[in-house]
Amino acid sequence: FDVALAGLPQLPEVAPYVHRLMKAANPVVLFGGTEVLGANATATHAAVLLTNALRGALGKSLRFGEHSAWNKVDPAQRTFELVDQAGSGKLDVLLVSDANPAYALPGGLSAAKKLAACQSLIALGYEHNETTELARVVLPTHHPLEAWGDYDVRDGAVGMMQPVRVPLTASRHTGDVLLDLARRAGKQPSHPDFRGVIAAHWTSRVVPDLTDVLVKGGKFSGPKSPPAGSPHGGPALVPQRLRDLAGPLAKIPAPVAGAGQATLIAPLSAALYDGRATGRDWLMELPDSLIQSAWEVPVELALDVAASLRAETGDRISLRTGIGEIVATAVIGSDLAEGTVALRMGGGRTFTKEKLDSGSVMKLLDPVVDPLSGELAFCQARVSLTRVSDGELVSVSGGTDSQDRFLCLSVELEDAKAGHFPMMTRHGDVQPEHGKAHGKPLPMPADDMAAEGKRPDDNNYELVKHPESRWGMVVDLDKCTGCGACVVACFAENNIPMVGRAQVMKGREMQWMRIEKHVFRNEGRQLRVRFMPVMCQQCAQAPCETVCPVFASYHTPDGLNAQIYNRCIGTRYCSNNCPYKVRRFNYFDYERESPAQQQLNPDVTVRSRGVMEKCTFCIQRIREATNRAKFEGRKLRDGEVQSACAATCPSGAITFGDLKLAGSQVARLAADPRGYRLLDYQVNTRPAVVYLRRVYSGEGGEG
Amino acid sequence: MSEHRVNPNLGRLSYAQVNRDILATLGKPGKIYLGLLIFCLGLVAVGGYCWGQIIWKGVGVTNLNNPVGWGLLITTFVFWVGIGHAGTLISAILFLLRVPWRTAIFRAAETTTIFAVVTAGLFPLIHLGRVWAMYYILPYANGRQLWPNFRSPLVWDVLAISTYLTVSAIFFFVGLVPDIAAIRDRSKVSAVRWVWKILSLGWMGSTRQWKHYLAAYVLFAGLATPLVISVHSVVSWDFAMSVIPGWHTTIFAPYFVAGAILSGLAMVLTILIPLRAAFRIGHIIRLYHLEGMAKVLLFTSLIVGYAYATEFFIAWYSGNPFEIAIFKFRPTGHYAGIFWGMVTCNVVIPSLFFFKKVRTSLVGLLLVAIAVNFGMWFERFNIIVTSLSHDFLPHNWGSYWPSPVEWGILAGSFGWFFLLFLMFVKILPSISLAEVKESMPEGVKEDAA
Repeated sequence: FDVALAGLPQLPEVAPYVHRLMKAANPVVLFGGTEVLGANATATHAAVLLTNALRGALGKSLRFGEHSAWNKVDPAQRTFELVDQAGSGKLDVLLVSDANPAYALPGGLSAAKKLAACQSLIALGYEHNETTELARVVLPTHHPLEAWGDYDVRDGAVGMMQPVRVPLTASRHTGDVLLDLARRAGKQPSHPDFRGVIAAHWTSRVVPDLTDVLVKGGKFSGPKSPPAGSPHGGPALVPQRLRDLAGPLAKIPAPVAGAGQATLIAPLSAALYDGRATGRDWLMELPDSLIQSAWEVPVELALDVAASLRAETGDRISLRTGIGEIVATAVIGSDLAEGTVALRMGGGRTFTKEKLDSGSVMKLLDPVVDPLSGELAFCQARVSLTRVSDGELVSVSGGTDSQDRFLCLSVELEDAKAGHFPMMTRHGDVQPEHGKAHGKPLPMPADDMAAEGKRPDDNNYELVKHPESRWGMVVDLDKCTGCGACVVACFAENNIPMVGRAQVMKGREMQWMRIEKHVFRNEGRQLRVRFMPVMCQQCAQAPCETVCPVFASYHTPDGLNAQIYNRCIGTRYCSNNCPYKVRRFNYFDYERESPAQQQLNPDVTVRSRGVMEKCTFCIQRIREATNRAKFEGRKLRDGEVQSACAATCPSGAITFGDLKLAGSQVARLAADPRGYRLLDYQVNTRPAVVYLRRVYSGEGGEG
Repeated sequence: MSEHRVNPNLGRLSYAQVNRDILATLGKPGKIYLGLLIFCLGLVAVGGYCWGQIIWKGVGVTNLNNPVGWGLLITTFVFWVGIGHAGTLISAILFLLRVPWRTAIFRAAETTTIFAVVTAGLFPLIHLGRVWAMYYILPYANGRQLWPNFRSPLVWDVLAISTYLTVSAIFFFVGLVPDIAAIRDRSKVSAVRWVWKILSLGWMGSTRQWKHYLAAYVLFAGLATPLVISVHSVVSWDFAMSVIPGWHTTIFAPYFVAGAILSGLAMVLTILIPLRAAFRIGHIIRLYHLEGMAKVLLFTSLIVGYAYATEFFIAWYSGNPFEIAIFKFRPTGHYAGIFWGMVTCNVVIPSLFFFKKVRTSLVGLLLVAIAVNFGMWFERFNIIVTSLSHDFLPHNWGSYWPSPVEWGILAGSFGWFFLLFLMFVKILPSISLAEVKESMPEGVKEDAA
């Protein structure tokens, strides 16, 4: 491999990575997302795969999943052809189900115009969108939450979908519509409705009775066993086939070229995906973790691009390619590579209640495909940019620079291995002397407060005692990807009102937890972005509790900073005095448009205007579980209560439990030497949330 | 009272003239007076409408947000509490110290105090999210044995301000008794006379009554004096007891008291100078009195300036990064205009009083006093808003500027204050008859009517 490397042209940007790849014991090269996928996507993946194979990562650090539903989907090329056929009038009938081709396809295809030309376009779906607007016939169908169905989780596991509620409106199941069509066409289906079809399908194939399936949680193991030769249940990569990968490499097309100041990147939006979720309040109000902006799909400008345009965050920018022109709100993206602009998918929807200021990136793209896969090339165009006017971006972050305040911390892998953990002190993050570990371990909230030892400034009030349990949380910063699923789970669980664009702009979002973005540069001046979920830290010495004049904010014996909503008179002093600013004040009564009130969690109060509210570690779940345990005459088991955020986190970054329960997972993790408590050493708040440092390898400290 | 309180500047006046001139202020109001009254009523209506908006729609009609939960309303609360200081200071402390220039001005100063505290007391109610539940904060006996949280500085606030208002009001009333008797004796309408009769508590001006009266007056002056110090110290602890950088500091109590006296003196000057012109009582409230106040104003301005400097020194000396950051932010950040406005109005402009020409010129006195009024409002805004907008976690940083509703309430509070003052000057003598007469030299007393 070294020999092969010697023959390659010298690329200074790549050299350090190659060096690290060769040095590492267990290297792996990851595949990029849509943002790096141009017409050479397959070739890029092949190159990554080949590199992994050569460094022995296949089957070790990198393993293949089971077959995915995506494998069964036609490539985008087929859709483009279909739309072309519709445009040329070759299709008598076109049925579109739960899809929005008029919006989601590249502008160069002129899909809306072509679909409008189709004589009988029939749209099935559960919401009004750009495509239903063009259709001759619109058939309202059930939302997935109202419908029976089934799905492949992976090979060997299939699942049943059952409705969680009766349909809200007079809609029908897509399957029932098709069955009716068949009847009209003179065919007699074997089952009267779609539910019967599903039941018959599964009962005949696997189990005798559908109830069995549902009792098992709607999920059961299929007959297929993992293929031989793969320890992880995925298909094995046959070494001989590696040779096939060399083929695509020879066909790498030229990089994106053309007129315009910058290369356009069109990534998927984390919350809105390709725009199908645009207009849904929870996802609109969830700030994008990377951009820290809600209710908007802004265009990110790399620093050099912004400088050449003299653009600032919030300015309105016009983007033009050979295909089309849109206007979007700018955000200066210090994370972007030079000479690039990124506009996420999801802007420019027409049929949403609240309109976004930014247009859809798809309007700028041509239906260019990767010839090998037939998929759309997302990175294909250069754009011309002009600054149109001033504007304002809905930003939820006051800054991404930690200002040397020791907030979102990391540790070097080599140091961690050697047990050299930095220690939080009142003066910040103190590194151990070279080659030595700190003598005294960190006191952890799992310990009794009194046993933590007194610091000289500890004598104002009696220390809080938690006689039986203290609820706590461990957040592993190394696992957090900033996806924001925890924030949305919190919306759903705790009846959190959505306040809308104008109020978020004023800084009045009601989110009880947030994902903070922290940007660092390491010694090599490389940019490092870290995400830090921040919810109420449930301090043992809480600044909010002492200042409330009416005891609306008080400390429970199990360590929660509880809030009595109907006792609160709204002085807002608790929020002012919270170093974490995790309390949220109801500046207005925020309306829930019918039928959104049906989503409300009956175990949680709906707060009125003038009241402060906050995270209480999902106290309703804690109380429900403790009461149940009491009725059953037993102790609460570890893991029996999960906060909504912990239960939802896809990467398992959040662990919740009782810090005083011996052997609990949260207590074990809280004692991790990577642990530290946010602002504790600066403000002496004794939080119940422990953060575990992000781990970096071979990068040196932060500069 | 004692000989050394004799004021040589009142030498050419007679008792009759004093009675006539001062009680003339209670005569039939002119057009200008009525115009001002209607203007103030209009401002009160605007303020009331804006408060109504907060009650019916929510605190959201202000521009308050997360992180800035306190803004113009609390700024203006502290501003009015501060103004409520000079009255009792001038009245009680200067009385105990036997300062001769006190007599002509203390009534107006006490009135300023009472009306300012009454105005200030509205603001904690206005800013509440649920004002209809405000009684939760009062320590009243109830069946659930629910008490307020006595560890909260807001409860201390309620107690300190209500105590201060009660004692100041009693002190004010005691000082008024002989003057009310004088009005009673002059009033002709029997129903009105009856009211004055009750309020004058049967004052006849006998030697025995004077003896008891003076004892009571000294007692209340002694009671009020520590309250001047305590009430603004307690208000400052609303901030100092918190953990927020820029608030959490031990200097706040003396710093706030000095600032309160500064603002109070400025407001009394702002009121007295037009008042003496309007009522043509320049021969009673003389430049001599105003200059005395100007000197105290200069002195407190120097204390305030010293406190500003000390805050910066301590921030640097502490080595605390949060503290250093907020004191860098104040003079250079988003609210730098407010900060420099504060320094200019409270330290630079009052130092003009070092020049005798400025402190003996009516225009100079008035302009400096108005500047200090602005400066002290800037000071409270600077402390409250900058600290909240840039606290511990940079992610939370935000900014705030008051909404029209908040400005409306600010205007309404001025309307309310001056409305009360305008009503006062037509009902009760704004200068103490009894004390002015007392402080006149012996010889002139002979031609008393």
